[in-house]
Amino acid sequence: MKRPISENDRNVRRISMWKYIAKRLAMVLVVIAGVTLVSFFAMYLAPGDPAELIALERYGQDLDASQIESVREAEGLNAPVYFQYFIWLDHLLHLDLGRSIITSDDVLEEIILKLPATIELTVAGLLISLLIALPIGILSALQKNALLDNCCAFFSLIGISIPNFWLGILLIWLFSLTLHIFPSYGYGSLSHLALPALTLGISMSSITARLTRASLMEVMEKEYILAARARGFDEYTVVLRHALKNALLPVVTFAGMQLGYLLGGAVIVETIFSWPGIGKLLVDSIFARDFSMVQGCVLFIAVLFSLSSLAVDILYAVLDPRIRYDMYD
Amino acid sequence: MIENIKMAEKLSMNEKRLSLWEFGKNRLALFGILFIAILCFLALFAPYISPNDPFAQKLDERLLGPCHEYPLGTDEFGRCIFSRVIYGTRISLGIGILVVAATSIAGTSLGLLSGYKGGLFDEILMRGVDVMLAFPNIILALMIAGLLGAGVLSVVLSLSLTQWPVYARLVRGQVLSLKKRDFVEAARALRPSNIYIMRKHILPNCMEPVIVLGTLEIAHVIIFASALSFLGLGIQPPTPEWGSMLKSGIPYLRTYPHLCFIPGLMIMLTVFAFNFAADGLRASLGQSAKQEVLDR
Amino acid sequence: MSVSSLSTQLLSVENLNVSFKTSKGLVKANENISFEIKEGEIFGLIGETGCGKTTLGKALLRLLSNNARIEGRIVYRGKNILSLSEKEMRSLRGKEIGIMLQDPSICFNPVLSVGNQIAEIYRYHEGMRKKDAEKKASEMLELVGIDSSRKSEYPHQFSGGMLQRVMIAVALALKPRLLIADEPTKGLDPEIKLQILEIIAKLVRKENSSMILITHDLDVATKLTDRTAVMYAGEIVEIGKTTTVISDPKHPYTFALLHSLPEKGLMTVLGQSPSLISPPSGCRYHPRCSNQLADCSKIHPELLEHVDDHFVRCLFSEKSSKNVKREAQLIPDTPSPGCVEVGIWHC
Repeated sequence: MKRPISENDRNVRRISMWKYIAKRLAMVLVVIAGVTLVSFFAMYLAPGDPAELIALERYGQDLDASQIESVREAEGLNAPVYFQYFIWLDHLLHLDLGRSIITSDDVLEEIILKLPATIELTVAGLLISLLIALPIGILSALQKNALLDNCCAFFSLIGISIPNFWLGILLIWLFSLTLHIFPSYGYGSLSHLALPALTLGISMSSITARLTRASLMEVMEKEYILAARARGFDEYTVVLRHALKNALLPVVTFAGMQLGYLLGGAVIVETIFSWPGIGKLLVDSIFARDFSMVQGCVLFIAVLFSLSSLAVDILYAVLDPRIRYDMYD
Repeated sequence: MIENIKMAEKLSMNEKRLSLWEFGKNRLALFGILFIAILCFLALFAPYISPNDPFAQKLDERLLGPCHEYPLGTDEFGRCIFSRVIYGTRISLGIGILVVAATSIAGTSLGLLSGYKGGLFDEILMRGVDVMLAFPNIILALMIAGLLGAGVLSVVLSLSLTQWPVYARLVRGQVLSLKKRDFVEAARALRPSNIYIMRKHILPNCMEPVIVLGTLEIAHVIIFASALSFLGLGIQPPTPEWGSMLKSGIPYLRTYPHLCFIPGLMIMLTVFAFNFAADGLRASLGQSAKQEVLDR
Repeated sequence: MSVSSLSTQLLSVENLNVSFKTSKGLVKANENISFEIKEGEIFGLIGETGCGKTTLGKALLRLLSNNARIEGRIVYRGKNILSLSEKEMRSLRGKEIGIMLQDPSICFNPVLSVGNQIAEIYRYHEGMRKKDAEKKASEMLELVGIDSSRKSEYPHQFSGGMLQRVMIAVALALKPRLLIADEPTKGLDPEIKLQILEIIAKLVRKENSSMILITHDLDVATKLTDRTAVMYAGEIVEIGKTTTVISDPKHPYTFALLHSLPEKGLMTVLGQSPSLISPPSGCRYHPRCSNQLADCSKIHPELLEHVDDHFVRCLFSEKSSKNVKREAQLIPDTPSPGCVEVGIWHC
């Protein structure tokens, strides 16, 4: 790992940071293109003729051929498939995700409308999970008392195994039905946010706690921690300034992967608590067989996930100076 | 001999903690395996073990608590919960094993080919994996299950489509690091058939992490499948599935919480068992603690 | 083992025993180590990999892992280090006694810049403000020959030799009275080796500090040190003035080491390093020794003064040496294995 020293080193670093971002961005764009492909062609999974299915939604059960044909015309389903894809893609680039089959509302508008609720939920969930996980992980790694450490580890193992929908129901039973502290559904106040966010947060925290613990334990064994002690620093400084900075790096990357889990979990949590976010929108649309809304939601969520993963990657590069030079996966 | 001192220092801090943890984990792993064995037994011999017909509705015996005739009580249609739970084992385990078998074989093969051949095939496959992984699991499964309609087939299909990429990535990584090792070069010199090399030399060395991952994945799939059923998109009632049982129990949560508690508990214990078993496998195969967490 | 007290004694190690309790047994890394260092003296500690010299260095600052047991006395400026509280140890580390650990590439926090890691020493120990500490850090870097414009670079951006210089800067930042340098030239090219040694020597001599130079490289030890101790299998087998030890090595191991140098013939020392859990009986070196006597496998030799200020632990050397002085008593209640049989020595 010895690099030749040159006066240009500082310039190299600045350029490579942008290069790093650019390379990552290119990859994300490729992935997003693939996502659009999947989203589009997944529609063809539905058995039956798309035109007929849409017509069924619009006009009800008693259809005649002319209605189906008019739908086919209107939706451009006559054209060959790949042509349809490009038309659809073109619409996408103009930020047009089509209209709901049921309500004829603009899909993108609907999604943007529901977005804040989901963001509120996921941010709150993430915060709660960190608030629980980090202290447990850190204390558990540093514990001189092996018993406490094992207890924490055991409880986090339980946390991983609990299905989040069951956890939500348990929390409702406890805090809402029995203790009457929080409402079990609805939107608008912090009180309404409490249980959904807790559900999301608790189910995520166990993994983060285990990762933090494992990562910190690994870092504490490193020679530079001993070197820091050799310079006369107290344990507090050694852990906070030297160990944690390194130990939390994998946790940050993991946060990127967790975003997917968050978004997925949000779907379930929103459904249980009737939280008016994108997740609930998605599930409702599926039941309503509103294909364009479903397609729009799925696409939106996937793109959101990809972009936020990119953001996390960049954050990681900012925090860890070593990987800015590692241009190759 | 430097190993003596360096090893001594390494064994230091965590030796006490590790041995307690190892012991605990080994115990738990045993419990896990035992529980899984019990589950398999329940699934195979369900008709002989369950006291009642899981589908039989007795509307005058609704919502009973645990009693002699119904060990776990009855649900809102008077069906024996205990029997339904036992039959539910069949479904969950069945789906879990089926999906994991299919995805692990498909994913491993693809990963093997991709890692070994390299080149364009590898690039395309990896982009494909990236794309599949760009969708949060549930979202994709929801979409597919929603499009195909509810039912076992759509659950199995949607879960298979979302889960295979993990294996491909894992195996490809293993293959790439193995490819560089000398014994592969030697094998190539002796007998250049690619398939032979892949089968005899590379594949056996990949199997360990795949087995651990597979065990974890069964747990994942079981939760996943119950989540889908819970949302109403997977297995539908009256088929006894733990997730859909949970959902049906919600309206009675205040007064008869056992309708929700019991199926949820079953899911949790099952997932528990597989997680512990996977940990035990991992310990006996010697992976690091961090890897253990990242695999989840 | 007292020497002339013309300059004041800085460090005195008396019957130091360091062992590690492991599941495979008790690893006796250091046994019965005794030596002294005066102010301004550069002391060499030579031995092959795994002989316990690094452990000794770390033990002096109590930087060993939790399963280490240290017995004996380490007296620094009149205080027994082993009886100090952790808080008192912290004021010793870095400030009074500095240490350069082996392999600089793993001794630095990878996510902090090099300048930052030097500056934090000043901020922590001397309470300096950020700006002042940074300035001092730049000065330190210049002192070891690194351009101070590199202070915001990260450890992985430095080559091995450069990073070693940073290590020196860190260890000497607070001008400690004693520097422990563990293999400062390991893995470096010969020209760089010389540069590093020059820097260390210059800075240490300037402050009239003392240094313990731990190395397996005899060449390095010859150039720099005033006195040298040779370690084997956890024990000191020869100790004396460097010039004497080099010109007239009395222990077969030292002799073999010297003759493994390119200039002297590049002869290899046969055999493998012994286990520290169950070392060979009697003299630990006997299985590899070409001067082996019949008693060598039975009797564990004492460290005895053969010539003025030149101590050797070897039966063969005793026999062939003309004046053998008695060993000075250190801690009278430490029994020496095998001494009953021979009878002459104290027990």
